Amino acid sequence: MTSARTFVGDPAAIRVEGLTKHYGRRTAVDDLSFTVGAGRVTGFFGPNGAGKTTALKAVVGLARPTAGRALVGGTPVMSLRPDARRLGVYIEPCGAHPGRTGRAHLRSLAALAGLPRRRVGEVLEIVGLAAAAQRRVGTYSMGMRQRLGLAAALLGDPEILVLDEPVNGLDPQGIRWLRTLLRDRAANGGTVLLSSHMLGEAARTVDDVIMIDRGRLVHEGAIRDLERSGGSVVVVRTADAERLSRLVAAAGGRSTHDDDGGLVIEGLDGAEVARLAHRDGVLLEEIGHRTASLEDVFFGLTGGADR
Amino acid sequence: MRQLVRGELIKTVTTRTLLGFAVGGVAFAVLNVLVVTVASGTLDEVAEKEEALAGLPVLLLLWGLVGAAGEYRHRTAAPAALVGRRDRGVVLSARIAAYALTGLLLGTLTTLVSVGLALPLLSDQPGPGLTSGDVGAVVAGNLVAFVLSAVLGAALGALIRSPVLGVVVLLIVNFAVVPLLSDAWESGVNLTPFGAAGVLSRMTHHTTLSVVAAGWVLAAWTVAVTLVAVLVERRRDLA
Repeated sequence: MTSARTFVGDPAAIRVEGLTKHYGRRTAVDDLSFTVGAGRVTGFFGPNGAGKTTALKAVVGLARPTAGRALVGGTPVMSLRPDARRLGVYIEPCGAHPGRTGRAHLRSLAALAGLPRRRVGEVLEIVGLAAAAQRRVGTYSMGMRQRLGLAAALLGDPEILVLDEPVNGLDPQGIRWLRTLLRDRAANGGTVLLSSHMLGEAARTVDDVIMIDRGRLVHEGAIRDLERSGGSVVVVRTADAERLSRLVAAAGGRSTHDDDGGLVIEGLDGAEVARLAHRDGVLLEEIGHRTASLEDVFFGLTGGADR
Repeated sequence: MRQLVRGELIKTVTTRTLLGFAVGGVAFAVLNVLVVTVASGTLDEVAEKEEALAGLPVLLLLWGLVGAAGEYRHRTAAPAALVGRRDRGVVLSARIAAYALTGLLLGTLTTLVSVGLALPLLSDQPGPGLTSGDVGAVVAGNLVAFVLSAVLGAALGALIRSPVLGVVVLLIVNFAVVPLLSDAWESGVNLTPFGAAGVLSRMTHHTTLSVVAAGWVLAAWTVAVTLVAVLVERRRDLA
């Protein structure tokens, strides 16, 4: 059902400018600015308590910013009329009364949104909840509630999806289903902004990355650039490490010694390092690659894994 | 607006809360009729007989309060606000309208039970009987009190946002503060929503406030609190 989307006047589907949100003396989001490109899946990452949910609530208009603003399709969200066809939102928890059936929950939202009743059946099928639709939400597992929340977000077949921790509680099959769903939407021109603190899994779904910590932006860019910057590094063992270091530096790379006595080279790939060593007669005892995980990059950007 | 009210109505009728309040309302109606007609001795005045038909508007106040405050407790207010295609104040107005309609439904049910049970029992009582006009006036007063109480409760629920806190405060005020004050300052208590609802439903009689004036007092409270709730809803964050 998703069709190609265009945003008139602003290539960014979502633009956040200097967003700040205080709760009393506590600053949850601090001068945060970023853009979410139309037709892309953007991951919004940060450790627990980084301010992701607060920022997303401000982006969708549920929370009023203390300063700054969020624009959706070029229009400030606080002056936009809420519309399930433009913006589909899932923010934990799923927002369904435990005593109401899944179908009744979606029926009420469809009526509020002015959507046809048949759409309820369609989204229940999409999220795989059709068989459990007549059960009360209080009897649902966490994964089923997650799917119900996603069904609500998908009701209006929106141009933009904003999803807060959508992977939480999903089983591996569910995670794969969600990844396919989100990639398909992006392929059809839809835009997705999803938050997660599980970088490894979400990184398989996203095109772009926004990382925040303590309410502030720490990184924004394409996931490929992040992977590249984190680095696939070359690790070599040689008796002539000093000479190889000089050769690497002359070729534009950087080298450091690791704890195991190996030479870790960044900025050059394995073939380039091997050619340098061969040309200058440096004997390599061992050469290999080591890929820095995105978690390593993430911890490096947000200040460590031990927090 | 119609689709908003429809969506909110679906919410109010698809949990067991409505059934619980319907059962509670009918049980109270039966109990009130039996207490007034059987256990209160002779009823030889019209006002005493009218009391047998009286409803309990505070039940509808609770209905609106529990339902509307539950929207925030269960975080169902946010999804509604995100899809409503109108500002949050209008969505809340639609929610309050839905509680008014279901309040009318609950009120009609309990009033029918009261009238159906009380009239045969009252026919044995001495003194002037209730005319059809008297019964019609009591029924109308009760229905107005029920609907306004449901609206007032929903508006209070949207302001308080906590069903437990709201219910505790409401019960303390209705069953402790108001009775204590009414002994000392009856005319003042009649100007509170609780006092006015009591006069309107005929639970209270022989007071300085007329039934019509009580209706206006309760309506004024309801409109004022609803306006505040709608204005506040536009400004506050939703969880």
